[in-house]
Amino acid sequence: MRLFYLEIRRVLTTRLTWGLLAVSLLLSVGMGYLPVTFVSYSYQAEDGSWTELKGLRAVRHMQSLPQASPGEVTPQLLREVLGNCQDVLRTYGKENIWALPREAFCGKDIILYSSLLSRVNEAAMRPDGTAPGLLHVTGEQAEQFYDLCRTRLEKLMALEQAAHPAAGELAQRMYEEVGFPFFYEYGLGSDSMDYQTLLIFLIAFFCVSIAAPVFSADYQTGADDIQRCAKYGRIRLGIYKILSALLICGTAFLLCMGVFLLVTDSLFGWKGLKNSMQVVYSVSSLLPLNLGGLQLAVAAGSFLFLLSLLSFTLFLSARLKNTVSSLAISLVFCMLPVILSVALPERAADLAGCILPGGGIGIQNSLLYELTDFHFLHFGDVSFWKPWVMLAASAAEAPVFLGLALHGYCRRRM
Amino acid sequence: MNGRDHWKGEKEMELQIAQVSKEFRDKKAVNGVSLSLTPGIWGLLGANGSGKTTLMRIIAGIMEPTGGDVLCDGIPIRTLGERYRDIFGYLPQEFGFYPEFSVKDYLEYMAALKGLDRTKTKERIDALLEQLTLQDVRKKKISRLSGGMKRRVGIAQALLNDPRILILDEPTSGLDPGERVRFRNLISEFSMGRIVLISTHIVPDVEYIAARNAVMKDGRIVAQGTTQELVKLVEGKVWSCSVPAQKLAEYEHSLRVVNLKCGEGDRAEIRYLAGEAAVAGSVPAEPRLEDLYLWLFPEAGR
Repeated sequence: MRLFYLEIRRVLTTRLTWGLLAVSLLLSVGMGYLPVTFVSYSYQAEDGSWTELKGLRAVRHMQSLPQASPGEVTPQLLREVLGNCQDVLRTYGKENIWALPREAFCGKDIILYSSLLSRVNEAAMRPDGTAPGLLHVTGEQAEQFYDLCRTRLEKLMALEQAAHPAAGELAQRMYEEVGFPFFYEYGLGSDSMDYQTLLIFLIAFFCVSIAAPVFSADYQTGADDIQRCAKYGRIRLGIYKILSALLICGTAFLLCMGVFLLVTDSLFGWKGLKNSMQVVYSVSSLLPLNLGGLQLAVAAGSFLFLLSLLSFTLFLSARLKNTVSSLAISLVFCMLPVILSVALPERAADLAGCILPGGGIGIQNSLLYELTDFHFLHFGDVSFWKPWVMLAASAAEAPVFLGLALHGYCRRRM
Repeated sequence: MNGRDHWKGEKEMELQIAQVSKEFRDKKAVNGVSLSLTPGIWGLLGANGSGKTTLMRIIAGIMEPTGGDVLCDGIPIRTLGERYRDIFGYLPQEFGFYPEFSVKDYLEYMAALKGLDRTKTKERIDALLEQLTLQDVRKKKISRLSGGMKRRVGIAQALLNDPRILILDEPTSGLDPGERVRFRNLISEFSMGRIVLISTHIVPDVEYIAARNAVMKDGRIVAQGTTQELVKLVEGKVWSCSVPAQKLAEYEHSLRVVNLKCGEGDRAEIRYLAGEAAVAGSVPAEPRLEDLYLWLFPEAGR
């Protein structure tokens, strides 16, 4: 254990490591705060003057409005909100709420309920899969909102997975677990979730930079020659090097996630964690989670992806004899899922996301987007929801690459 | 059982290098070397590129031979694994270290790697820092030390576990004359009952302390024995004479001059190697190990 402690101390005392850890922590605070700065709210005083609030003041003001906390999303509420919105749209002759002038929002609850309105529009899906637009959604449809939610998933699966009925059945089974009615409070939204995803990508990037030199730096400097000749210089040192890299990077990840969530959830209000993810993303989202649960699921799943990515990085480090090549190749593999998710056709990108270590760490290919989306992988007549496959692949890859890293280090002979 | 217990108080240890070869893509660095190392200091002499470092890396177990084997008391070192490394100390030619480490941090780290407990670690580090006069820099980062000090830190790490087999590759490079003398004394004292193999091309470093020497050339052992035995190989081939100073360049060109000393006036004393006296007035000189080295590696004297 003393060797393990000394190895951790050694890694932590390198300038690169503590520099990157400090930057990660600062980024966690900064990115937790940043989504708040996008919020703005304008209102007209009795004397006709306009006041524009921005950032945290806007969030606090909106949260103080009586309409900000409806709690359960009832069909009656939706009908009322829809009716109010349609009145305003007709008054200003607009189809879309984002086209409305700012005075249109004054004294109305359109801004507060914009995500609910989007969901009503989404649930009233036309047979061709498109949303009708808020002016064309009827009050009756708003009252049948939860029935429409159930049938929307059926229609969606029929459109997108026509050749794979097993995928549709799986989606329906998963959706049965989703609880109704949905819950909504103004506050936490998709911006914070996007920033969580971006932060995970940056931390993964830093962790790879910390892990890449673990073995290769010793090969390059010749320190390995001496260590390898010591009693515990092979298997035990190899294990401790791997464990210390995982412990330092894992702790850094969890700490940064904790700080980010603490900052962003404190600023947007803890009540928003109860919001159903179906209200923020899609009425057909398959997971029975609120935003708090989704945040944790993204953090936990990404932690698993990070482990597989670090395992692969350590494997490369054990195989490559200089730091530059191990760092460069590791960073390429860190970014590869992001690049391939854009560059490849959808099915190939789906497969790449599952096969590559850390495939769920990125922007478009992030676990968050996969958890809120409807991608399925098909093996014959059997279909699997893509996020499950990605997580299972990472869980399998991590020990394999760790074993290969240890084997590569112990067996390294020239 | 650890290596220390395994070899405790038993018969004299033997490290056998049996027909060891190492072939790289374009060169055979070590070619069928056989050597039986017994306790005492062994000098491994050879010019740069003669295969000394490759052979030492094979003995250290960090390079795989393409042929042959290294056996410790008849057991292949790869079979002994941890037991062999427990009694082994190694200083490579290029001493790699972590730049963030201070001398003390580094030695503590190496002591943990060698399986020393806290008490033993402190004892050994204190003793070695004193023996190698490194006490004043114990808290200094290794990256800020001079070349000679770094080398001494390397020697300290090799001695931490009180090894029964000690392999030192060019241990005196970068040391000043005083440090070299101290190093020789330290190793002589340390070598009792242990196998110490020192590779060098600086002959005086091993001439007076090595019980036996092996000379490597082009990947082969071309001579081995005690210093006296080896020196006999050049008996009658070392000459000295006095020559006119203005003809020195001519003599240096035509003879293998191993030493020259300009005296007072227009005469100079030269010492040269030749099968027979090549200059009138030459007298046989007492051969030294360096003469053998230069006899075997004529390019080294040019």
